[in-house]
Amino acid sequence: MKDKMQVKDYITVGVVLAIYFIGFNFIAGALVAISSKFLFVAQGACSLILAPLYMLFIAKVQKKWAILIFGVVMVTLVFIATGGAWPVLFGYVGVIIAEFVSRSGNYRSFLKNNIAYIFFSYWSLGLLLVYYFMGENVLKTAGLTDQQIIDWMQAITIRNLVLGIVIIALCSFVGGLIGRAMLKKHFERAGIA
Amino acid sequence: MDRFALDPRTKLILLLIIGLAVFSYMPTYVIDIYIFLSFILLLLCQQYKSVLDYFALYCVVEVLLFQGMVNLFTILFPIFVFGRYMVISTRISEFSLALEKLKVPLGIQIILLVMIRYFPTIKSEFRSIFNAMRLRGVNFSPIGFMRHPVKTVEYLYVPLVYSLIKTGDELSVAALTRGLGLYESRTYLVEIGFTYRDRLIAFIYLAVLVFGFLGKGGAL
Repeated sequence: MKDKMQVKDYITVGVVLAIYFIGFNFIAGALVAISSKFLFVAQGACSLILAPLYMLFIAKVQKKWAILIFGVVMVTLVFIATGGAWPVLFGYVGVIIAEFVSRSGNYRSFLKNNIAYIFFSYWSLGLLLVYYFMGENVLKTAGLTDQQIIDWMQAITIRNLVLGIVIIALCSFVGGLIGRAMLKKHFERAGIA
Repeated sequence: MDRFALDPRTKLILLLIIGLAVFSYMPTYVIDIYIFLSFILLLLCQQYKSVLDYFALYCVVEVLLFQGMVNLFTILFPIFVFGRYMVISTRISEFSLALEKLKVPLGIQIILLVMIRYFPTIKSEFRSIFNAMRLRGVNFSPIGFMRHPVKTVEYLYVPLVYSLIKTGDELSVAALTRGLGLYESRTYLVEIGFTYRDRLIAFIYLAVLVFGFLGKGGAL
């Protein structure tokens, strides 16, 4: 019974999800609003800054399916909010892999949690794929000029997608290290991890 | 009930419709109509100040947009305004009952309810921590951020997460003492159901969507 998700854990998931959601929208929105060139950097920046939160979440919950529920609810919410843009659903894959990688280390192995976080961060690649598959339609609705649309479409190539994958992986890994340090420095001392 | 109450399920459907309109071929004026409709819904909830704020924000962004500065913002703005309406107009117990009627599992219900309850909390906590840190001489201006980026983020981030997680723990204790963990069927004091208002609003939103699709077919 100890492994099962209790009401307490669900509430923790809700709290962390609320912070994650606002943080992601705030950071990514601010960066992309500055320039479309930041589209591929924004996701990396988000995974870097939100990593401590995720590490705290894993350290606090340590139950089966917790990561899966967290990710699936988040991706589904994004899916609904984007009006059913189906490429978002690729995010499920990263979340499922993250759950099983983390479980193989019994949710305590630092290295495996960090690798799991890299896969977890890949859920946001789904948002990039939206532009890859249906980019022109999305951008036309924004009321952009033709030149801006061309700029955006030129930014979305296979090469840049691969670059995005590498950036997210690097940022997630470094973020995980920072998160670990922060956990030790602040949260464990305060007794909430 | 004096306020203009819609069924929470209707609101979810409307959110889906807006999302569909925003992320498909819709021309810009359809999006503007949706923003206008959301403003009317907010006005019916007596949210005059936030409507003014959003209207001012939208005007500023439009002006900026003509200079080609802001791009993704306009896509997300209608969803943002409608989300604000959803959070303001829905009582937690009504939303809980709606989820129960949609046969959402209890765990997912709890997650969604806690999320909705937490958005205003995050805002107020953020503000108070911001003020407290300014009192202690941490500089949050862009110049201060440039000088110590890591420190600035840390001073804001750690207390925020700490206090929110702590509040979450207290919330779970409060919920457990009121019997949230019991896997029995629960009873509700509030009642929800579809009325003529739901049908009317949903019809208007759908009509705009169909109109948009037809207009697009004609334009292309």
